[in-house]
Amino acid sequence: MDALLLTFKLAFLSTLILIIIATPIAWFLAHSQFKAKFLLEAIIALPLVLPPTVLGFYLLIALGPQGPGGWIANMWGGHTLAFSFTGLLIGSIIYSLPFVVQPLQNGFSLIGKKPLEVAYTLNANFYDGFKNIILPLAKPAYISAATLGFAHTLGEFGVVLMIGGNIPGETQVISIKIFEQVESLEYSEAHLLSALLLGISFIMLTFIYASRSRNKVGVL
Amino acid sequence: MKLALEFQLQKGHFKLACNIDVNWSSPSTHVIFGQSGIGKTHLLRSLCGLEHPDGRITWHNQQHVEYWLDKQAGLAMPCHQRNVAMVFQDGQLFTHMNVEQNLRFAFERSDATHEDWATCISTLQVQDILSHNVSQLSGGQAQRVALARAILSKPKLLILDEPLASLDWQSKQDVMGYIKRLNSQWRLPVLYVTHDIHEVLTLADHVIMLEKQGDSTLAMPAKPLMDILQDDSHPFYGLGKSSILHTQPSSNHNEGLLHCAIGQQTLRLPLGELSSHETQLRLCIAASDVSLSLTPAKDSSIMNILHGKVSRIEQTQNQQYLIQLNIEGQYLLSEISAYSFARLKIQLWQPVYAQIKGIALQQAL
Repeated sequence: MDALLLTFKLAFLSTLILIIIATPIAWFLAHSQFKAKFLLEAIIALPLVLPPTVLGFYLLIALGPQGPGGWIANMWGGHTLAFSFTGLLIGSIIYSLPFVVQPLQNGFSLIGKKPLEVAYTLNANFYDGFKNIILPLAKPAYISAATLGFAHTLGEFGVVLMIGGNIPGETQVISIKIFEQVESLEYSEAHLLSALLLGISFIMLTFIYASRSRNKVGVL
Repeated sequence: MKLALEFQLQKGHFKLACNIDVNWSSPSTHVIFGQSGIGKTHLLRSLCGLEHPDGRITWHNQQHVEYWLDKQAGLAMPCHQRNVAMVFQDGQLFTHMNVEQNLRFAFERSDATHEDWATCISTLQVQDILSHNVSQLSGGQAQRVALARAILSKPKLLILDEPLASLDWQSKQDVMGYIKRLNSQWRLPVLYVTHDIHEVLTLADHVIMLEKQGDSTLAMPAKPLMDILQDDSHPFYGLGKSSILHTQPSSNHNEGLLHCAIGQQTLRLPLGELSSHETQLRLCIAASDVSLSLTPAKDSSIMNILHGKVSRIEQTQNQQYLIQLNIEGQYLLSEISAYSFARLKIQLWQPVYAQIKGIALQQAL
């Protein structure tokens, strides 16, 4: 039960933070004239192609006592972020970033700048226009992005294994727990958790694709 | 009210140079005319602050001067502070809102009063579609809502960017009528952009031409439409084989005819769709529909005969004469054959009678 709760807490928090971080990044990628933005696009897409172990390895170093993670941990008296829930959260955010940025970027591109410009001519400033025009128009894209981010974090394994280890209640998420159960030949427990994860993932994906066929905006 | 434009805009290979003052002595309509692709939209975007060219843009209202753009001083007032409303070709209504919410968006961000709201809604006749979804609207309705939304933002300046371009003929006439009504009701300075000569003839008080010179686009100083139509060096002159008369319709009409006063004289128009509620009616009359006679024809079926003096004579190609008449201070062109010209012995300042075929009087709103 701990593993299940922890997994959902992790997925929920990463999705929440991701939506906040990904919004300005996606807006920038969709509308900026900046010449070298492909560089940023490539960096954000890296987790799509890298083996989770590679990403996990670098994260482990970055979060460890010698990296910036250790430095941050020092602020509240710790000496590392590796093998902690905070570290796991940072890892998931980086790992799932492209899954949240890309639907938002596509959504923003489809909407275009025109609605915001119209809002400007009606005396609305950027924040006003963004909040009241762009956000509601991008709702389908946000639903896609959040569902994908959430589902992807649920299914995370390699990165967690590398930076989180297997501490019950702290870093032991479902995927790790299943791995452990299989290793120790507890097949019936593994069956239960696997089926649960399968069901949840299926329901969430069904939800995305159903909302996608209703709305043209917000495709993956 | 005056808009002083001194700027250059460069976008890739495209260059636009603008060095003109646009003056609205009374609230009136300036039309910016140029072919498609000449850069009209760039000019508008620079005006409302969606683009920041090099140079200076200032808005003058009596003693008060507002700096909208001064590149040298590093100043560029953002679009939402300029209070310039714009109606786009395709309406650009917010699709996640219904009609009323679209209007409220503008209303809540301006100092429009509830009275303005009521007047605007009834003038543009949108009261019945307030709860409609934007996607349900016809092209003409969408443009009406877009106009209402622009008006409700209480703009200093109203910019209409080819608002009729994507409409069918009937909706064009409708929306044009509403635009005209807005002009007389709100008395706003209007900049109207089009590449359609008919819209120029019907709506313009002044015309700003955009012309291609070399590889850059140049904005020409604004000229009154009347002058342009009389100016034989102007590209509109050929089209100017029609003239425009401003008339005052009277409220009483009989036998299905609307009486329109032009000075001391009267024109009779088939009532049709004409509205006698207008205070001014602009009539567009083709020169070929005007014939001349030296005496008033009493036994003619032509019901519109105006008395005036010959103010200019010009020989055109293929044995035709273009005669300009001064009628109560306004100009009317008549095209007659060389034979008739010789037969009538027409001379400058000679009094003549112009016979206008009834059907030639088109409603030009």
